[in-house]
Amino acid sequence: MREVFFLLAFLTPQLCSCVPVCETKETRCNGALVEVCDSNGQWQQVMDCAEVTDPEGLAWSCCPAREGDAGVVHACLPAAECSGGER
Amino acid sequence: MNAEPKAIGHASLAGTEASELVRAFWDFITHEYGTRVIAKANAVEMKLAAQALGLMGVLSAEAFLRDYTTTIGRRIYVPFEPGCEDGGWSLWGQLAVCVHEHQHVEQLDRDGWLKFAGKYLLSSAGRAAYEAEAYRCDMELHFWRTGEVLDPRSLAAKLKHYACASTDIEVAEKALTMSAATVRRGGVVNRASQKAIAWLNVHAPTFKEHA
Repeated sequence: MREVFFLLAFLTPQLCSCVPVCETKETRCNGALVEVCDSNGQWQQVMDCAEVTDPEGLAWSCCPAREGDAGVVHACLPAAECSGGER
Repeated sequence: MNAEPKAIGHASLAGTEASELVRAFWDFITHEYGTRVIAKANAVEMKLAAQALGLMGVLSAEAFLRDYTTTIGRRIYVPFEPGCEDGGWSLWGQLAVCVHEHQHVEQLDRDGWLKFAGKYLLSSAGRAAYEAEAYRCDMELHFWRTGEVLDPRSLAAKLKHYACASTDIEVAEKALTMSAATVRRGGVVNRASQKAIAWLNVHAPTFKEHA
């Protein structure tokens, strides 16, 4: 029984990571994290807005941004630009 | 482990002062990260890797030794002498590849050997994600220098040389497009770029081509 438990404990995270939870290339904000959905249907971190630096020392937040032909994607933007936007 | 082809499309830096600054930049970054620069052409392990890649038909041995910078752990194998414009590597290309390779060292430190090597070597999606992050350094450095953002599609297309699946290249392009939105507003995400830009602002502001 104990062996079965250990086997399940080992396999569960592997199985969970095989079940798609998002659509490939979808993007989102997860708090300050900017994420993209990878080819396995799993969320993958692209940026942590808390770690962004700039010459003016602005605060950065995750929010949607229009990026040319690519349309709307999520990205780290200066917090002032984010306010009022869709999260 | 990572092998990075030489950068193209940069206007050249020139002169003794620029050469000395690029050499000083490499000294600074390698000291910061505790990395070692090794001449690729003289490294037995790189010659063996080049022959293996050639035999597998992945890349010619000559191209691997001449055109690619390779990082294994904290050893950076370079096909040029930092600060010397030879073998087609521009001074700016040498500087940019230094930052790119050290972002891989950041990844190694952040994720640990097992996770980093496993994901990089065994997973197309993992390799594409690590490379997309490192290519953000190229984007951040180019923006610092020119005020322009490198094309995410062109950067992601380089992943064809890394045996990445087409869907993973598309995801990498998406990640770089998201990064571009941040970079064009002046944000610097990668730690290797942050260290590099802080140094360049103090020691090499003349490398900037825009106000």
